[in-house]
Amino acid sequence: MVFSSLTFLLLFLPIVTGLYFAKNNLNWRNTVLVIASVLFYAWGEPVWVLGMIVSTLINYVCAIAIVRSRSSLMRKLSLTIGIIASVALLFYFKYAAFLFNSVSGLFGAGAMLPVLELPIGISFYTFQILTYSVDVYRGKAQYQKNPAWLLLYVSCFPQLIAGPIVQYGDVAAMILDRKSTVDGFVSGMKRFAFGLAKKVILANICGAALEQLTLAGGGQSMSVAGAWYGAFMYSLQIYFDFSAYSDMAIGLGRVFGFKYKENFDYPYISKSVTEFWRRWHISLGSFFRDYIYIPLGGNRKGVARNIINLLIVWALTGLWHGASWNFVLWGLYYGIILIAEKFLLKKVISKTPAWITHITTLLFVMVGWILFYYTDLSAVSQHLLAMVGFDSAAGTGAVFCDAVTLAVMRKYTVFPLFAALCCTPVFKKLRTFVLDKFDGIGQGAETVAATAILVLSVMFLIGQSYNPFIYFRF
Amino acid sequence: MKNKFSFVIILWWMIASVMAGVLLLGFADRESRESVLENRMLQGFPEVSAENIMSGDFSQEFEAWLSDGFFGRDGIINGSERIMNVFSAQTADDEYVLDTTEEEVTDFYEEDVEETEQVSQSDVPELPEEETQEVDFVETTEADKDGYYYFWYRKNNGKLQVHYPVHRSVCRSLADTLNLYRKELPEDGRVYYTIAPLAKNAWYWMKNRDRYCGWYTNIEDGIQKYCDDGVTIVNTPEILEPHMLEKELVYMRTDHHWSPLGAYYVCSEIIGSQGIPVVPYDEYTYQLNTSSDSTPAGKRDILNIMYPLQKLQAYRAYDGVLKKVNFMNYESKSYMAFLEGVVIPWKKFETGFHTGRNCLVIADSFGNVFTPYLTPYYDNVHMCDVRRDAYYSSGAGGWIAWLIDKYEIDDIYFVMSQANDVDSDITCANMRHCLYGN
Repeated sequence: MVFSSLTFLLLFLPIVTGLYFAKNNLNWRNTVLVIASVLFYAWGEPVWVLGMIVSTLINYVCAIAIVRSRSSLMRKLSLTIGIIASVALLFYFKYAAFLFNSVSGLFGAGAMLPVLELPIGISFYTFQILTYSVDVYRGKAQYQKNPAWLLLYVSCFPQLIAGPIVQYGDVAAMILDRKSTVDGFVSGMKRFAFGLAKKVILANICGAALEQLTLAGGGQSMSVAGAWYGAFMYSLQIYFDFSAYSDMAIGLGRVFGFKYKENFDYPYISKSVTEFWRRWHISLGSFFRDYIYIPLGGNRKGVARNIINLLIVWALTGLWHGASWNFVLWGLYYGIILIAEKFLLKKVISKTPAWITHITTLLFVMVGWILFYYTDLSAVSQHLLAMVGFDSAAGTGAVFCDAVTLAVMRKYTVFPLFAALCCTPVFKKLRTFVLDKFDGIGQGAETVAATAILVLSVMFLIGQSYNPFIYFRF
Repeated sequence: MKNKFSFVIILWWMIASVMAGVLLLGFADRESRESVLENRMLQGFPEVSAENIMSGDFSQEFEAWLSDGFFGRDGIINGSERIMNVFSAQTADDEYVLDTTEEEVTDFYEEDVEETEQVSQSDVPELPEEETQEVDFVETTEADKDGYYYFWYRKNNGKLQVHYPVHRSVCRSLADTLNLYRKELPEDGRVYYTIAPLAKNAWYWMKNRDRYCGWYTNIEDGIQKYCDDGVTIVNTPEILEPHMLEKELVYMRTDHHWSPLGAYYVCSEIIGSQGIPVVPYDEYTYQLNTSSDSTPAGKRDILNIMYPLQKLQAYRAYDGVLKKVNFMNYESKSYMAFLEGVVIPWKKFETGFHTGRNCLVIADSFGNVFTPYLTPYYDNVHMCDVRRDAYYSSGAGGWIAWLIDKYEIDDIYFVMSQANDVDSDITCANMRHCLYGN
């Protein structure tokens, strides 16, 4: 099940919310949430919901073993078992075929393993389970005595499918003690409504435009304008798609009393790639920092080791996004840029006018998205070369603009500009200004606007057959 | 409470949502049905079975059922499209450019060739050493003493050279078949039947003007004798001859078909005979394309690919369902809907005109370039082919009598070539079979 579905909006959410608030008792509310979350997951994965439950239970047992073990060796062993149990399922579905086929290809053997379809959200809940075991091992959090509440943490439906990745230490206390307030309910639902519109309207329209550009182009050579327009629309689509889901997750979390951390902070206003990654998918960056980078030594073991650690982290970041070499290259691409910014370009960036660094950052990010979009590396090079005016298929200069690109641009006219505006904090500042000036009326107006947007979103949802979440199968 | 108003509004969101959900569960149509607006089958309530649930199909189909069954769906879709189009500056050409289809397209030059050979200049028959089967040229609509009607070449010496004969019994059989079709139409309905000569027969006399000055046939008269009111046998050679004498390219040089110009003349003659003002040839917009084959002299045919005057939407019948298809490949400047050989039961073209009449074209490949010229005169033009297994009721949804009734066909145009014409038992038998299925 996804948030942007009628099943969720018309049946699941109102019923679960009603049941949740039926009693003012935390045990009741947690029970409702955990059952609802398991049902939410089972709706889309009726078989592999067991995988999530079993993985959680194994880590539950391992955490108890960690706490009760007297020897350091047993604690480490319990942690290792917990990690292996968590990662095994992820490895099996996501990386086994990739590694086998890569090695097989390297040695010229013809054997290939079929690529399996990923259970929904497996990358997200696996990391969440890992944070539990590691946080307990480190003493950052108490182990959870109630396995159902641990399952609640892992499977809580607001953030199960596409994050944010919630570290156990951040929510452990909230599972046992939290309050749902009217303000939280209202602000959470409004955030959910705006997030839904971001997904159903902004992200999906960007995706539709991109799809028309590629399908109607029919595999013909890309024009310069088409290459840039496609990269631009994909950059918008992936941002709105993913940040929308985070908005909805954080909003729903607030409804049920959970305060999740922000996952996106207007990344496209960044003036460096380093800043970009502090604003993009913040929870993933935090996870890799806290659970991979720092345990590897971080920046505490000299420059050379620091560089290696960064490259490892970024290769893993790429690999987390997908089991394909283009994702690894994408991760390393950013790793190299970040290393360059950290060790070579820090002063240059600080002295360069902000508008220049902003544009260059956007260019780097767009190139990164092209690497992210195509699993075929020759298509990546074809696209990049088209952006600079070269048609690699024909071996000649690329045409500036083709009929398909013109047609798509005419169809969507100012929409991309409006969407680009939505990537900036303009509307947030406008909201703040209005609420400061006209508090009571402002709140009401915001609610009316949220209602109108919700109705519009449902209209678009019904009319659209195109409704994929890009991060759905991660 | 500070947010009391907002809280109440949001509470109503929940209530309205769950009410809508419950109403959908209770009252939405559970059967799969066709959407006219979207031209597809809407999802019915999914099968509740362990297999369906465990495979994940149940959840997907349930979501699709909720969406497809939502109250006022058509209005919602129209509304959301209107909102989307507010800022759109799309042109009619853009819609063609962006209109993608999942159907495989048969390239015009790879279409299924009929049983007659594809003709090039070198295939034009050699002139006989001795002219045989010559008769004096007398215009006649009557069969000869043996009951034969003929297709002749007219010679400069005043004689007629026989090309092929057709017996009156065969003409009778065809007329009876056409009368059956006429009976299925409304009172003011009309059936037109054309027999177009092949290109090689045209070039036979056009290339040898020192000997020939035209062609002549009374086969059409022989058929017309037995036809009911409302059935007209069109004398295509007679229509085309004056244009051929003017050296207009009414036939292709690189294959066996007539050209768009030739088809236009015949179509316009038929339309004009109904008292309807005919759209001039030059009033259409054309994209020029060239044939992939060339003559032995290396010349290619110029193909005038006509843009219909109004935006046209094409459909193909497939497994009893109409599927939208592209009318045209804008990049390669070729038809994608008309020129597709014999691979599907029937096609439909919503012309964008409002004349109150619909027609059906039953044709071989000569119909492909003829049919576009019918589009200004009908709201919907349907097209099918009764040769071999081209028309089958399971894919079509029903036999032709059903099609005529369901889609309110007023007129029928049979556009046949001499390869599949009156003396072809296969064609006549197929015509009868495809009408009722017996």
